[in-house]
Order: sequence, then C-alpha cells, then structure tokens
Amino acid sequence: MMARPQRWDAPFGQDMTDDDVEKLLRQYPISLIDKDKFPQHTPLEGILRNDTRIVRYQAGDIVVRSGDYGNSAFLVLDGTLRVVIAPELPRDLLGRQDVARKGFFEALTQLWTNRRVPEVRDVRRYNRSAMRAGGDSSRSVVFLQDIPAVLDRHQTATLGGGALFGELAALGRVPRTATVFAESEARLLEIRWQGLREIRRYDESFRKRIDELYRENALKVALRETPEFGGLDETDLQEVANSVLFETHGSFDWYISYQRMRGAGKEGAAHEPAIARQGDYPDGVLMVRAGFARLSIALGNGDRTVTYLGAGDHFAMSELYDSWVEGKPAPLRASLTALGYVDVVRVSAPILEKYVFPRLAERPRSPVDASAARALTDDALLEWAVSERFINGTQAMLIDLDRCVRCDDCVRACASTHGGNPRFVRHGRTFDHWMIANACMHCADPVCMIGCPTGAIHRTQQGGMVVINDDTCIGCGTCASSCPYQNIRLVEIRDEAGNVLLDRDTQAPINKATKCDLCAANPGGPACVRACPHDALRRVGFHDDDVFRKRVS
Amino acid sequence: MTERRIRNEPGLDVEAFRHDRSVYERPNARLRCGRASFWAKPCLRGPNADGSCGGVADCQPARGKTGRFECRRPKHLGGPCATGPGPDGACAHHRPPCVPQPTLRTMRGRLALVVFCAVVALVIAFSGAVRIGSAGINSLEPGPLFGPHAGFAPKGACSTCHEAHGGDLSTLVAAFVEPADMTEACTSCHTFAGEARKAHNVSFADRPDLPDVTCNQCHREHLGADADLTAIDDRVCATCHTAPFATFVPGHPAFSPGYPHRRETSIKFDHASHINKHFSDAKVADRAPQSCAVCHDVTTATNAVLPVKAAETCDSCHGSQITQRDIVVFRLPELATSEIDAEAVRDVCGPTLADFERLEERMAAMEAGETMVDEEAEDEEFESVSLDEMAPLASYVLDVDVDDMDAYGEPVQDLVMAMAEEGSVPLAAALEDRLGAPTTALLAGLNPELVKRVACAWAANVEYEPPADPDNGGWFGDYLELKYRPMGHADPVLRAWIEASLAAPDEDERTEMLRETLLDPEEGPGACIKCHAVHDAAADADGPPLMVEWTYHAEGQRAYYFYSHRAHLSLVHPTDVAMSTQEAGCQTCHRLDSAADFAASFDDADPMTFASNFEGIRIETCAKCHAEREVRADCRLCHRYHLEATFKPIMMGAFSQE
Amino acid sequence: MRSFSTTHAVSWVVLGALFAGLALHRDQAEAGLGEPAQITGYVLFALFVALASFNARKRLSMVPLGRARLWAVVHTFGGVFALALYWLHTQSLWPTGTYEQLLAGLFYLVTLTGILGWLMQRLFPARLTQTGLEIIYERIPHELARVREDAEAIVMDCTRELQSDTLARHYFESLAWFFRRPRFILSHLFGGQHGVHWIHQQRLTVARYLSQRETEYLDALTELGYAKLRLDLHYVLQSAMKKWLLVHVPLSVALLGIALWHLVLVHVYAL
Repeated sequence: MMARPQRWDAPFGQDMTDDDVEKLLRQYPISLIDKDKFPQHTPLEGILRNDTRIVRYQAGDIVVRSGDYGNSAFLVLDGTLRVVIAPELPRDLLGRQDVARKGFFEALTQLWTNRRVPEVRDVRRYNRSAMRAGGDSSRSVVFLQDIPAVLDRHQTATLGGGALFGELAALGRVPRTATVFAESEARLLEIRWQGLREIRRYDESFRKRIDELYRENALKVALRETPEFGGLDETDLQEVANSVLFETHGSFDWYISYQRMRGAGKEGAAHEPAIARQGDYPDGVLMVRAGFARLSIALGNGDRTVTYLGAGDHFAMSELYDSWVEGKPAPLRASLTALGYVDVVRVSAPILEKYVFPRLAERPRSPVDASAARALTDDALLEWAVSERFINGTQAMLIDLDRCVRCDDCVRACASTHGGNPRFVRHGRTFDHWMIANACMHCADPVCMIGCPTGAIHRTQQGGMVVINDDTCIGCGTCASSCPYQNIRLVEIRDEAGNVLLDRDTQAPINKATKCDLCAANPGGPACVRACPHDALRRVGFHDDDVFRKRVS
Repeated sequence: MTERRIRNEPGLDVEAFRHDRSVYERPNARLRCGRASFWAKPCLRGPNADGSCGGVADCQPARGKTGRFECRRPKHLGGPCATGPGPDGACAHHRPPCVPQPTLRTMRGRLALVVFCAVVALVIAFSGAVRIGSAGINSLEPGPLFGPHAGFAPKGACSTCHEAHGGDLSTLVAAFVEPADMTEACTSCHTFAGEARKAHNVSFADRPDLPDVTCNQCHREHLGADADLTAIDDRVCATCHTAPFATFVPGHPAFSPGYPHRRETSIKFDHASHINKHFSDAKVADRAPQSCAVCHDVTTATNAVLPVKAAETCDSCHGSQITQRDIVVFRLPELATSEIDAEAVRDVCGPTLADFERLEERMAAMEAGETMVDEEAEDEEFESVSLDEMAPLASYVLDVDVDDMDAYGEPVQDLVMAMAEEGSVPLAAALEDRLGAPTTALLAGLNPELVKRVACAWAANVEYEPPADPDNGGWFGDYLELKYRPMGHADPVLRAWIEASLAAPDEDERTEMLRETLLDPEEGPGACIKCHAVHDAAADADGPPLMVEWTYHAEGQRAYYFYSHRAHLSLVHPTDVAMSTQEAGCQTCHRLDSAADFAASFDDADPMTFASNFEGIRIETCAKCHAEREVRADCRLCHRYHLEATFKPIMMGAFSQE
Repeated sequence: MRSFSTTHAVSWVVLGALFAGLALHRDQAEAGLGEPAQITGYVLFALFVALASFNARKRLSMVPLGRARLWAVVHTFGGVFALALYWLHTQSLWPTGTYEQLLAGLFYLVTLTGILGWLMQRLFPARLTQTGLEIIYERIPHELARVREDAEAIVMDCTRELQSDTLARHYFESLAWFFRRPRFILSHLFGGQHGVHWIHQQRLTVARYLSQRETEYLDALTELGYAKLRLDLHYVLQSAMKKWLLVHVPLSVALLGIALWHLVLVHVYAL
C-alpha cells in the first residue's frame, strides 16, 4: 500500500526554495506578470516553485540543440547566450549520441529476468523518492571548446538577460529550431511546459511577448528554410517577418472536441474549424507552422480530402500566383480546415508579389491539380487516415490483415522487451485489410503530453519518441484520456510478490500509464516489427500520403 | 427496446478496448481463464501467475466517507461486496469456482516435452533386443541384412560385424570418434586370391601409391534381404580408371588386333579349309557338321567354349587315318652274317618247320640208305631273309646307324636272340637303358610270347608269318617287323612313344631321327601331329623343349574378364545359320579369315606366331547392341573386380552342413 | 512485400546452389569410394537444428537476431530444402531400419504439418479479413459470452413484454445450443455456409408461430446469430492457425531427438 501520488509531488527542481521564488518574482520579466490573475489552486508562486528550476551553465555549454524535442522553455536570468542561426553546428560538435540502449547481453538478460506476473514494479524505487523529473533534466551537458571559432564560422544572435527561448518547442510540441549555447557563465530559469502553459494562459502580456519572441527568434529561421524566402537578404527577410500574421485554428485541446464530434457521428471537413473556404478570394498564402490541416474540395454531398498539410506546407500559393499573372482575383480551389490545433502564419499577397512570384520559374503546383486524375478509391485510405487523425502518427503500427496470421508474436515480442508486459493491443481501427493497432503512434502533435501534471510523459532528447517516466507517473489517466487513439493504457501495478498494489485509503489499485516506447532502451529498434514472421506489421509515419499505396502495390 | 441489444459486429467495438474498459491482452500468459475455456462467461481478469483465479478478488476492508469501515472491491474484480466486515474486521470471501487452464502455448510446451521424453524413452527401452510378439523391435535396427548374410548375424547379433556393439560406455565413446573397420568383418568369411584390401586384390608393383580399399566403399549393407550388394556404378571404376570415357559406346578402346586369337590353338584345325572345302565336298556331305555348335558346345559356355570330343567329330573322317599308321618298333634288317647259333635257337624255340623237313629228308634218306650228307655245312653261304633297313626306333634303341650293316649286325642279332629267349624283357631293358625312364607305357599290351615267336622266326632267319591281320589294332608281328597298330584316337601307346621321344635325354642325330619319325604329320604313327600342335615349351623350364598339345586349352587366363557365349546365342542362332555364311551365326563375331595361312603358322614351334582362321573380334560388333539404352554396357558386365572371390574353407564347411 | 520477392529469389538461388553442391558432392563421393551420406547427413542435422531454432528466435525477440520475416522465409525454404536434402541423403522414400522408419515417419509428419500450416497461414488471413470483423483470439470467449447474454436478454425482454414464451421455448430448445459455444467448426474451416443455412432454417421454423412484434425480436436474435457466425469463423480459423503447431512443434522436438540418436548410432557403428 502506498499514498496516491499528487501533482507537484515531484517538483521540477529539487532545490527550489521560497527565497528563490521570492527573488524570481522580483526579477524581470517575471515581475511584469500579474500574479493576481492566477487562480488559487495554481498560484504563480506554486508554478515557480514546482514547475521551474534554476540551472547554471558554464561558457560553451550547449543549452538546447537544434532538432531536440524539449518540454521546457528557458528564461535568461543573467549571462549571455548565443543562438546559432546559420549554418547549423556540425553534429559532432553538438555532442549527439544515441539514447543509451541496452547491449545485446544486457537485453538478453530479460529472458530470465522478465516476470511471469504482469506489471511488477520495484516499489522501493518509488519510496526512495528518487523521482527524476521529466523534461530536459538529464544534466549531461555538452560544451563547445572553441567559442571564438564557432562565432567566426557561424552566424549567431545574442540572447541577454530577460530573453525567453525554447517556448515554441515546449508549447508547440515541435523540435527545437535552433541551438543555443552559453557565451559566458549564465544562470537560466528552466520552465517546464506545464508551467509555461499556465503562465501563458493566465497572463495576456506574457502571451503577446511569446508571439513577439517567435517573430524574432524562429520565424526568420523558418522563413529562411522555405524555398520561397530562402534567398532573401537580411533586410528583406526582416520586412517579410514583420508583415506576417500569426493565426491559430482549432482548439489546443482538440482531442476533446474531436472525441465529442466522433461520438456524435460528426466527421469530415464540414465539422472542422474552417481556415479558408473554397470559392473565397485569398489575401495571402497560409503556411502551416504546427499541427495539421485538411485540404478538401467539395464533391457531391460532401467534401473530398485532397491531402493534408503539415508543418512547412503552404496553402493558396497557386491561386495567388494565378491572380498575379492574370491581373484579376482567382478564387480558392479548395477548402482548408483545421485537424485539431493548427498554427499558421499568413504571408500577404503584396509581399509574395514583391519577393516570391517574380523569382518563380513556373506556376506553383497545387495538390488539387493532381486530384482530378485520381479515382475515389485511390484516396479512400487517405480519407480514412485523415478522418481517424492517423496522420498525426510518425510511428503508427500498421498491420496488413491479409498477411497477419494473428499469431501475436508481435505482442509477445513486445512483452519480452518490457519486463513481460505487452505495451500495445493488437487491435484497432480497420479499413479494408489495414489495421492501425492500438500502439502509440508517437504523434507529431502528441496531445497526450498536454495536461500531464508531473511531466512523466515526455519526448526523448534523441528521436523525439514519446515515453512515460514510470517513476513519476501518478496514474491519473490524463494522458490516456487525451490520446484520441486509445493507445495509452493504465495498468494495475504489483509488488514483487505479485500482489496488486492498492491505495491505502480507497482500496483502489494503484495505476500507471503505459504505452509503446518504440523499444527505446532495447537494441535493434521496435521488437514488434522484427518479430513479425509474415511481414504484416510495420511502423509507419504519415509523412506522405503514399504510405498505403506503397504497400498495396 | 431491442435496439440497444442489436449489435451487428460484436468484435468490432474498438471502444471496448479503451484504456478504462480493458486491460492488455497478454498472449504471453501461461494460463487462461478456466471459465472461458468452457465457453462460460469468462472472469473479468485472467488467472494469477500462481495459477489461482484472478477474476475475482477478496473484499478488503476500507474506510468509507463516513469514517466507518466497509468491505470494498473494485468493480472489475467482482464489484461491491454484499456484506460489511465481520466482528473481527475481516471481510467474507466470495469466489466463484474457476480453475485456470493452460493456454495453447503452454500445452504445446508440455506436449513437446512429453513427446520428446517418450521418444527418448522408447529409443533407450528398445535399444536392447526387445521382442514384441513375433517381430523384434529394436531402436538400433538399421534395416534388414542381405539375405545370405542374415544367417550369420541373427537379430541382436550385431557384434558379428560391429565390434562396438554391446560394449561398455568407454568402448562406445571410442567407437564414436574412431573410424570403424568393416573390412575386417567381411574378410572373416570372404577370401580372395590376392590381398583383400588392395585394389583388385593385387599389389601393383608400379603403383605402390594406391591406397588400401575397404569393402564398404562399394558394398552397402542393411538395404534389405534382396538388395543387390554388387551393383556397382561405372563411375566407381572411373575413380581409379580415369580413362577419358564415360560410356562403352563411344569410348571403350578397340580390342587388340587378333583378339582373342593370339596364341596358336592346340589343335591344328583349319576352320577355313574345312568349312570352305571339306565340308562342302559331296563325298563327306553326310558326315559334315551342319553348324558350329556341332563341334563347339556353346549352349552352356561362358568364357571358354569347349570343343566336343574328337571321337564324336574328327573321327568320322580322320579316325581311319590314325589306325592306318602303325608304329614299327623293330624290323629285322638285312644281315651280312648270321651270328646266331642254330642249335641254340633250336633249344630255345624248338624245331622249326625247316627242321622237320630236314628231319624227314634225313629219315627218307636213311630209309633209302643213302648216307645223308649233312648239308648244313658250316661253310654254307648265309643268306639274310631280310633286305630291309633297320627300323628308326630300333636304330635309336640300339644306337646304331640304320645302314651300317657291320655295326648293327651283332647287336640286332643279340637282341633277337634275347627276345627269342626272354620275350619283351630285353627290348624293354634296351629301351629303358636308352631313354633312362620306365618304359611300361611304351610297350603296354605287348605279349612276350608274341615277341618270342617273332624273334624265334627271325633267329631262324625266316619271316614270321602272322596268324591274322590285327583289325582292332595292338601289337603284332608282321613278317620282318614288330609293330603296334593304333587302336584309335588318343591311343596311350602312341602318346607315350611321342612323349618319350620328346623327353629323350640325349640330343643327337638318332634322337632327331626318332622324333622325325614319330612326329611326322603325315606318315608318323597315328598321324597325331597332323592335328595336334607341337609347341616350344621353353617357357616351362622343367619340361621338354617341345610338347604336343594333347588336350584343348582355353585361350589364356583372363582373371578380370568375363564373357558369356551362352547369353548371346539367342541373338545369333548358330544352329540355324550355315557355317559359311558371313557375318551371321558365330561368324557375327568370329569372322572366318580364309586368307590366313593357318597351317604354315604351326611350322615352327613358337605358339605365338599364329595366323588364326578368324579375324580379331571388333568392338563395333559389341557396340551394335551394347550402345542401346536397354542393353547393359557397364564396366562390370565384362570386367571383374575381384581376383577369384570365394569363401574361406570354414565357410564352405558351414554351407555344406546346412 | 516487394522487398521480399528479392529475398525469395536469393533464397531460391542460395538453396539451389547449396543443393546442387551437395548433390554433386554426394555423386562424387558415391563414385569416388567416399561416404556419400556423411556430408548430407551432417548438413541435414544442422538444418534440423537451424529450423528448430526458429522457435528459439521467437523467445529471444528482445535481442536483435534479424527480422522474424527473414527467419520465416528461411524456415519455409529450409523446410522444403530439408525434404529435398532428406531424399538426397537417404536415396529412398522409406528406409528399411526400424528406428530409421520412425525417423522418416516423424520427418514426413513434421514436413506435412509444416506445409499444412504454411497453407493455412496463406489462405486464412484473407478469409478473416473478409468477415469485416477483427477480434483477438483470447477475447472470443468474452465476446461469445456477451453475444449469448444479449441473445438471452432479447428472449427475456420478449417474454416479459409480450407474455409469450414461444420464442423463449424455441431458444432453449434449439438456439441455445448454437449460442452455447462455437459451432459448425468443420464448415467454417472449409469455407462452408452451414451456419447461415442453419440460422435461416431456425428462423423459418419458428416465425410462423410469432406475432409481428415477436418477429422483430426474432429478427434481432437472427442478426445476433449471424454476428456470432463471424465470431465462430474467427475462432475456428484462428484456432487452426494456432493448433497446427500443437502437432508440428512437439513432433519437431521428437524428430530432433531421434535424429541425434541416428547421428550417434552411425558414428558408433559405421563411421
């Protein structure tokens, strides 16, 4: 028996004192936050106390690395840092290393260490209170040895006291866009995203500030990576950046509305928040920053999904180009609706006409062009994948039921790599002879991470796999409820003797959330894929909509 | 209403797998719900790892909102408890009966273990000679032995051949790693003219590098009672005989020229002249053979075809030729002077007819009163009754020239006188003296009385008058000759004389003459040499330099070859084909070569200067049939591997006892 | 799938070359006074071990031992290869010795069950897919129980609402047998429609005695019956795809044992 874990049982920083919190409250820019707007159950002090920590960096230490997934933002308290704009630091300089995987023989020990009793936990581990907080908490700091050389070779920007960075990755659940390292000795306040979310939710000025930061820090980097704006010089780029508008569509907690809509039988583009409608006249091109949007055209009594747009995709480019060429407005040929939560930036038509269209060799392609030649059946799977939101998955478990002999070797393999416990259910939604099994898809937009009170569910630094830290999971089930695909399961844990652990007070079993971790700790990648003797199971990412077609042919 | 009941797709309710409605399916579990296995409503949770039912949990006391203890149980473990805690604070236990059952995989594992153990147990249990009913079942049994072998190794007596059988563990372990020697076992019964472990049972002097062979390299056992242990593939031969051909046709080299007629035959039978000339002669038409098979018995022949007895063939024409040629052992030659005392003759032989006449004359004279002047005056001129030459045989025996009257006069008359006195004994003694060997065979059947009578006549200087002509042959006196007439083919006396002449110890001109006389093909006694070849037997150092081929001998010894004449008869039908027909019957293979100077090749005594009546056998002839698929053309059809394979004497005994 | 056609091609080539090599060796050994069955015997035994290790690989899925698909392909091809190799080794279809006959019998049985299993694994998945239903094998008893409860509830509702036991009587006389557990197993296995026919017949039998309202209940019951048929089909086909291993695996183990015995015997007695 044990006490049920509570939020803030495991503070982000172990050694935050009341004194620290007092100092922080007086320090810019936290001092700008109106702490009276915060509700009683989540006071700003509590957030600072439990969801932040103060981290010190030596000169040359890398704070965040481009490409990493991070769940926290950083506020510079003192010292200076540098953000690398271009070119990116070489990988070896970033100290990239794979997640510590087990060696062959270490993995092999599971042959006899795996329990016959399901979900056995070493309870003493929890009692020792060695709970490590989630997020970027592993303090294996990599540092740059020769800062002047880096500054000489790479274009960088300075971040001084009061600067906030990493908020995009923490809130938008996207990889870090740039590398930041300490130029001098620096003190940073690391805010895990739960705290950041709370502050942003209750303080309007803070939210605006974050948007401005985005414009400053990330937008230019993002624009520079696009083929359209990549060639512009600094002044022009700045002009473009200043002119764009930020928009968000859909709800941040889209999975709730989605499940509600699904429960009511309302599916399809008509029930999704519209971003742009077919037939309207566009005033600018829409570039998706985060999330997914459905591009559809009216067909008969419904809407036909042509494709879906993810981060980096743009909408209405071809229509604007046509109107620029022909000198008269061209209507949108497709509608764009938000699949959940979508962040877009709108680049206005004049900017495009000034900087982009003159340099285009030919008319930009539209996905609508190709759809005319495609039969409805060609896109049936796409329609299904979009409507089920499987496009969110980067590692969805796709099973070809025409090949699957239902031997459950995949499940057994999974169990053998996870202490004798399977981490997925070989069942799920089907279409034709395809099944997306109930295994974590490691979503591009992992909504399960929203609302985790302890940050137990997080992305790994390498690879961005969504994993749950069993030590800090309190079994509240928030992630499991959030997951639109029912891929997170709560299990009743047992002690070494095999007895189900029960709450001392309520006699209810103690739960832990579990799910596929893509065998992060095991050598050889996902055991389920390796274990399938009939080549029926694959982990697929929906980066392009040909994922089914490749296998069908 | 009914709507809520109607679910068309009971398993498709994916929501049933929601985290809050289900747990992981655990196919790796070893047990499954016992109720489910009997299709009853399964427990909500599967069995516990200890084998107990996990579907229902005991109620546990817990403090309720009111602060009082109450019995609680999670919904999926059985739901609310009917009663509260008892006086002792514990909750009552309510568990429906449920015994978890093993899953299919668990059963599979157990089954595998059971089957494996069963097989191991069976193998071990039956590794001895366990008999069930009439049939012995043995886990060592590798298959039935070749029928004839089975008798020597009845069931369980494996150690007859396998030494390791029945040994203790160390023996078995040693046998596992050490190569087994099966040849040892084979050669305990089988034996060969040469060494068993050598290729072809012979140590080839020029190939000392050849490795030893083992029996089981070619012969496989335990393939059934009717298995052919001697079925050997051609390629086995090719292991060593790496001549570049794989099939008989084409590939096999041609036979050597003249094959197989390389050595002169023992009988100088000129097939060409007989077939071409004699047999077609109208005079002998009734006696001429109608096919080769009349003289050559091919119906049972394998390698060698033996001619039938001369008495049944040659004699019909040549029999009389033998009996017409006598052997003259002694002839009274012309004498210059008589050395014989008439009185002595009279004493020995009694009065002769002349004596009686003379006595009558004297009686008549006495009656007439005439004084009979004894005309038998010593000075009366001697007139020899014989004007003939001496017989060559006697010349040899007495070692005198046939025409040296002065030389032979005395010994001849001495011998005659001796013969008159003692019959054949002096003659035999003289012969023995000359030949240095017993002479019984030479004079076999010679009646001493005949000799006496003949000698008495000659001693009296008169011709011996034979009582009758000896039709059936044998010894007889004929006026001035003591002769032997052959009784027919294979006359032992003639043969003895000829062999004695060839074995004569002294090589001088008299011996030469003796041989010429006896070996003369036309006029020699019995004309034996007309047909029987005389060969130089120099190769045989102990024998005489020359020898007469009295008996048929096969064409050389070919230990590794085999040919069956009999098997080919049905193809050539020798009895249905005229002998002179070319390329048919026996001439299919044995083609008559009329141009060969057959007879002349026998003029010298060298058996290897042969001009056969037959051309050499051509391989093309064999190929006519043995190139076809259905006809065997493998090496072992004609070639033999082993050298005189046979059994050890003890085995022969074993066979004869059975 | 396409990537594995190359695996197949490579497998064919490799196995073909291997077989040709072994056949050639055997041929030469036979002609060259060697021991023709020795190498093929060793290879065959090694192959047995390799084929059996497919099972071990399934237990060792926590370590990277290559993709199971590759193992399965190797196992399948290896099995066919083993048959060819067996004939090459023995040069006969049926040996003469007692234990060799046991060995051959086991080998043929294992091969036969393997081929049967392979065929089932090829044919059944699509039939399962075509039911439009997907269910985990272990859950079938749960679902069947649920269907049975639903069916009984329909009957109870009908009886309660209409105060008529006609449908209930028919249910307990005939339909209960069907809802009790999976039925028409052979028909399902071989793709027959016995179950559909049976349910249709049951409906015709009782419908004439029912009121219109009762018929609605009967229709619901019939629909449930058709649903259960799909469950039954899943049970039968999934069972078949699992249970053939109940024969294949234990026999393989026995075969390994007796093959080892054969190896030892041959060494002790003849090699």
